[in-house]
Amino acid sequence: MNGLECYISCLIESSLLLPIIIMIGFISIFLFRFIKKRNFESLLLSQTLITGVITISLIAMSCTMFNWLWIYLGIILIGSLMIFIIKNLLDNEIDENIINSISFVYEFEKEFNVPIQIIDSQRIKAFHYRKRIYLSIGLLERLEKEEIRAVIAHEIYHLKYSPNKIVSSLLAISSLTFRRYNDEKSADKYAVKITGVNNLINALKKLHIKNYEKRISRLSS
Amino acid sequence: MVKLERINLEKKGLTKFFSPNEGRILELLWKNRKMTSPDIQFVCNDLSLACVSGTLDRLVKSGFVNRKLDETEKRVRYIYSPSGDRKNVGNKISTKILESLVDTFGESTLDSIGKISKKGR
Repeated sequence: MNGLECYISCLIESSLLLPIIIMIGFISIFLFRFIKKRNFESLLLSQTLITGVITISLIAMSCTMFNWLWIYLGIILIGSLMIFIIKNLLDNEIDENIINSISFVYEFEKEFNVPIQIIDSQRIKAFHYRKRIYLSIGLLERLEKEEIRAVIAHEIYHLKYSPNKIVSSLLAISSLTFRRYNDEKSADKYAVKITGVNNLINALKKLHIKNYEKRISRLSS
Repeated sequence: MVKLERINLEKKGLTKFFSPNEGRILELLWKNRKMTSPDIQFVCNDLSLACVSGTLDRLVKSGFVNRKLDETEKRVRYIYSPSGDRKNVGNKISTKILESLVDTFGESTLDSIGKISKKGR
């Protein structure tokens, strides 16, 4: 009996395992493919369910001949451990020169109640890291105040609501869906809600952000 | 500083020691003394925003250009100026190359320098 035959016979001979797997599988596929308003929660739920189904079936069958499934479990385990270590033990600072005092951003810090750090660079940079928002002088130089507000609001969304990229990647691999949630659209919507559509469109145009034409047409429609 | 591995004596002018964009922006700053990034972008309008920004950051990091932060209530911007004139930059690069040559070839480099300076006179 080869690995696949062993796997199939284990599934057929168990009374409850097969129906449970089929049911959870259908729910997962439905959540992943057919929900109209596909958001991070639905993707996360379906990926967790798919991961769970694979893991439960593996443990329930104890099929030693199907070794690659154990490798799969190992990836999940090592990946989870790595996320835990990265998040809790390492405290890497970003590799950028920071300008310590700049009065220009105080009012934004007050308004959004989040620390904003200024990067000493002419390049256009805006990102969040460890509960802080980072903006470069190059970006501040190019934009009007309201446009800077739109960029900050976009980053605030990522800071507050976006999933951890490592967790998303791990789930995408472990569930075999290979799909990571991209929430730029939601962050844009959030920024528009706070600062108005024109400010974000102007900022995207001025900064020539990657895919900016696509994003602008989405915001304009 | 100029990286020795980037020096290419077959090229012309400043591009022997700098990339074409670095050389172009450096020439511009020597000519105008003080400029902002939009000023530079306006003159070098065939270069992308990312290209000008990256080149300016590199020139500052290598010490050939200085920048000062100019902050007002409504705006914040860098003002760029060259750290030295053409002669200073020439001295810096020559010293670095000569040091490297002396380190490798010793006295024969010094002899060559002597011959060249005699010719010059």
